[in-house]
Amino acid sequence: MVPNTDKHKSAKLKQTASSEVASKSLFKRKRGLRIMGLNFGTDGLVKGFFGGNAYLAILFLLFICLFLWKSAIGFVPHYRTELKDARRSGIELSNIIADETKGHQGIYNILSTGFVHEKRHSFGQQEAVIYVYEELEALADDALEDEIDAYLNLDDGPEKAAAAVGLKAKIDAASRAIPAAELLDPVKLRIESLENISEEVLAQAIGYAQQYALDDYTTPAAIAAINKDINSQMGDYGKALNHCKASAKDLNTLHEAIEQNALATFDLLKKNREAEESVKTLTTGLEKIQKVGTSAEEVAKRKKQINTAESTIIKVDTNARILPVYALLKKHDATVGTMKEELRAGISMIPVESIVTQEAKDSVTLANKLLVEFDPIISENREILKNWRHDEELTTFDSLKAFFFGSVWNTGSSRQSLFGILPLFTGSLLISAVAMCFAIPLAVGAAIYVNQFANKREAGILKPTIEFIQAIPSVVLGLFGVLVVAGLLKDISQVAWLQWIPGFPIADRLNVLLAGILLAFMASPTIFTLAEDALNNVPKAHAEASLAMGANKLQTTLKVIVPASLSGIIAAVMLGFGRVIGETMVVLLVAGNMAKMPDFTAGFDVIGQSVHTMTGIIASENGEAVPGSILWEGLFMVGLVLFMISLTINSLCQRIINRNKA
Amino acid sequence: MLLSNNVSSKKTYFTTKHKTMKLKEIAIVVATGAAIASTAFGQAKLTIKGSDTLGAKLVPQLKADYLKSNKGVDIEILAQGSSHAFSNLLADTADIGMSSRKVKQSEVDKFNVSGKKLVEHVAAWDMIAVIINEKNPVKKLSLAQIEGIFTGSITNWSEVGGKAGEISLYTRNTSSGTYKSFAKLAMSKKDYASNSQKMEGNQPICTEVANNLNGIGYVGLAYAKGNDYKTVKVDGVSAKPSKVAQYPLARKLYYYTVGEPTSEVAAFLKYATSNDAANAIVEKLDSFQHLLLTHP
Repeated sequence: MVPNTDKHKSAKLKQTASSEVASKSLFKRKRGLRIMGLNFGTDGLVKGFFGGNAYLAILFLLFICLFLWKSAIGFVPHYRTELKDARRSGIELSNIIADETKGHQGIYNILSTGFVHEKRHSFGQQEAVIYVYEELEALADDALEDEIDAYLNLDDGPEKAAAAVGLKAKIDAASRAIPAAELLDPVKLRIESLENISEEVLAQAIGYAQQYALDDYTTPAAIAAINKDINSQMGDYGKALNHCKASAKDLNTLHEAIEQNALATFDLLKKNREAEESVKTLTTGLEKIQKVGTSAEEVAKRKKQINTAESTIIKVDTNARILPVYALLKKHDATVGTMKEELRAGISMIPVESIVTQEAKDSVTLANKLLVEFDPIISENREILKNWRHDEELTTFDSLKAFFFGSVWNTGSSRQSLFGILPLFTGSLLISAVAMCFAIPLAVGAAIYVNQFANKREAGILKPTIEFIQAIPSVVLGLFGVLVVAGLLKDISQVAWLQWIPGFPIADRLNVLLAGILLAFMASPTIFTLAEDALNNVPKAHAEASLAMGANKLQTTLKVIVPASLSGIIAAVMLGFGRVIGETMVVLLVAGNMAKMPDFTAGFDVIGQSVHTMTGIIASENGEAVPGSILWEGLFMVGLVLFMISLTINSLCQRIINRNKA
Repeated sequence: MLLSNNVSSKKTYFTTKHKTMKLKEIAIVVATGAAIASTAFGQAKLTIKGSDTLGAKLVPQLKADYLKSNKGVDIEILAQGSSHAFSNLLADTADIGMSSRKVKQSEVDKFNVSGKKLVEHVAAWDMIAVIINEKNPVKKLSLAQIEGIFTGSITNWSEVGGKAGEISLYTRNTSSGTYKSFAKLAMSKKDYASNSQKMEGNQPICTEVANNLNGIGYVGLAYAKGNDYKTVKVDGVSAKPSKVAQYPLARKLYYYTVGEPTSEVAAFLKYATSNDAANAIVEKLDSFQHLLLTHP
C-alpha cells in the first residue's frame, strides 16, 4: 500500500511540476515592456488582471467589514443613553412593576376562562338568547343598514313612530327568514353543550334585535340584565372571581401613576434629544451653504430656524421630576402584598366542590400552582425595588449586556425601545438545530449512497437532481412553505396517532418546525455535495485494502470510508449550518416572526412555537430605520453578530479541512 | 417637467463649457437633444413614491383613469413605505410623495436644511378593519377589548364572547405605517403583546387569519373582504366607507409635494383629490372601499 501511494503522489507531483513549467514558459515567451521592475506587456497586464480580481475579493470583504463596524458601533453609546433616560425617568421602575401586574392578569385570565366555561355549561339557554340576538342584530344590520340609518336620522314625531313600526316588521321578517340551522350553527359553536333552541328564545332575541336598531345602536338593557342575572346565579364563583380581579386594583393604579409620571419625563428627554439633533443638522446645513456662499437673507433665515429649534430645548431636572415616583414607590411593598393576599383569598373563595366542568376545575388548580410560583418573583422584585436608584450609573458594559442578554426585542414602540438580541438569537439557533436534525441524515445518507452504492446511471440522476435544489430561489421555497407546506403540516399535526411527535398539534401555522423543514431542504444540497466530495477524496487504496481483508461493501463503507472522511463530512455539515443560519427569505415568511423568547418549559414542544430570527429582523425592520438612528445601528449590531457567527463557522471548517490534509 | 429641467441644465452646461460655441449652434444642439428625448420618452414624466397603503391599489387605479384623458403623461408609481416618500422628495427623485402618516418633525427639519418647503394634501381616509376567522362566532368587539387583545391582557376568545381558545395575534411589521397607526388608534399607543406575529403585509395577515380559527389581525379596508375571514364591528360600527365618521379606526392619508404643485403635478393632484374621480374609482372597484375624499 505504501509504495503504491508514493507512486501516485510522485506522478501527481511530476504532473504539477510540468504544468508549472508550461505556464512559466507561456509568460516568458514574450518579455514585454518592463518599467521599474513591473511588467507592462500583454502578459503582465493579463496576469495583473487575474491577480487584481482575486485581491478585489479581499478588498470587498474588508470594505464590508468596515461598513458593518462603522454602522454598528454607534449603537453602544446610543443605547446607553436610551437606557439611562429610561432609568432617570423611572420607566425602568415602571417596567418592573408591570411584570407584577402582568403576572396577576395572567392568573386572572386563566380563572376567568374557566369561569366562562362553567357559566356556558350551566346557563346555556339564557346565554343562547344573547348569542342569537347578536347574530340577528348583525344580520339585520347588514340587510337593513340604510333603512336603519334613515330611521335614526328622522326627527322625533309621528313620522318616526310610523317608521319604527315598519322597521320592526322588516327586522322581524328578515330575522325569521334566516334558516334556524344557519342561525344556530355559530351559537352552538360557542356553547358546545347546547342541544336545541326554543321558539321562545328566538322570539325574545328578535325583540332585542329590534330594540337595538331603534335605540341608536346601543345594547338593549335587557341583554345587560340577562348577563347580570346569570352572574348573580353563578353566585359565589362569580363573587370570588370579582374578588380576584379587584385584588390588583390598587397595584394597577399605583403602576399607572408611576408610568404616567415616568412617560412624561421620558418624552421630554426624548424631545430634547431630538431638538439637539435638529440644531446639529441645521447648524451643519448653515455651515455648508456658508462655505459655498449665499445671500445674507438666507443666512439670517437659517439662523432664525436654529434659534427656534434651540428654544425648544428645555433643561429637564430629572432629580426633581422623579420625586413623586419615589413617593409612590414607598406604597409598593404594601400594595403588592395586599394584591397577593387578596388574590389568594379570592381563589380560595371559589366553591371548587360545586363546580361541574373539568375545565373550570383545572383552571383553579393551575391558578393555585401559578400563585405559588408568583411568590419568589414578588419577593425578588421587592429586593430590586428597595435598592433601585434613578441616578445609578449605567456603563457601556451595561449597554452591551442589555443587548447580548436582553430577552425583549421591542422596536417601533412609542415608549421605550428595547434591543435584546436573545430571542432572535435563540430563534435562529432553534430553527437551525431543527433544520440540521432533518438535513444531516438526509444529505449525508444520500451522499454515502450516491458515492458508495449507486450505480453510474443512478448516480447520474441523483447527483444533479439533489444539487439542482440549490437552484430554487429561496423566496419561491418560502412561498411554497406558506401556501402549501404550512397547511399540510397543520393538518398532519391534528392526526391522533401522530401526537407523540414533538410540537404536535400545532397551534400556529408558521413555526420553528415548518421553517426547520424548509431550511433542511435548502441546506441539503450544500451538505450533500461537500460530503460527497469528502467521501470521494478517500484514497481508493483504503477501500481496496478493506475489501481484500474480507470485509463486505457495507462494512467497508461504514468502518473505513466514512471514518476516513469524517472531518470532511463535519466540515460539510458546518457549512450547511452556516447556510441555514444566514438564510433570510424563508424564515421571514414561515417562522412566524414573533419576537419573544421561546418557551422552553414546553420541552420539545417548543418547535411548534413561532419565533423571530436575526436575519428576519434585519429584513423586516430596516424599511423604516433612518440611517444613523438607534434602530438602524441596532440592526447592524445584529448583522455584526451574524457575521461573526458565519466567520467562526467558516474558519472552523477551514481548520478541520486543513488538519485533515496535514 | 423633469424633462424640461434636463434640457435647461444641458443648456447651461454648453454655455459654460464651450464659450466659443455660437448661440445658434447651441440652439440647434438643444433642439435636437429635446427632439431625441421627446421621441425616446414621448411624454412628460411624473414620479409618485411612498406608502404602500396608497400605492398598492388606489393610486394605480387613479393613474389608469387619469391617463385615459391625459395621454401626454407617463406616471411611475413606487410603493415602498411612507418614509420613502420623504427621502425621495428630498432627493428630488419623486414629484409626489404618498404617506399614511403625517410628516415627522425630524423630516421637516431635513427639508428646511435644504431650503425646501413641504406641502400637504389630504388624499383619502383609510379605515383599518379588524379581521377574524369566518368560523369565529364573535361579531363585534369594543375598542377596549381590541386594546386588551393586542396588548396581551386578553388572551382567550371566551373572554370576549367567543369559543374558548388561545388568541393568535397577527400584526403588520414595525416598518409599516399601519403598525403605528393601529397602535395609536386602537391601543392608546401601548406596546403590542410580545406574542404578536409580525407579518410582511396585508395579504399574509389575511392568509393566516383565514387559516387559523383563533386568529385576529388588522388590514386596510381594501383587504377586508375575502374568503374564510370576516371583519368585526368596532364599538358597534362596521368598517364600511359610509361609516367613516363614526368608525374608531379611521385615519387620513396624505400626498406631499415640495412647494405648491405646478403644471403636471398640480393637474394630477387636482384630479386625484377631487371627489368625482375618486368616487368613480370606488364604484368600479368593489374590493377597494377605503376612501372618502371629503372630510366627513
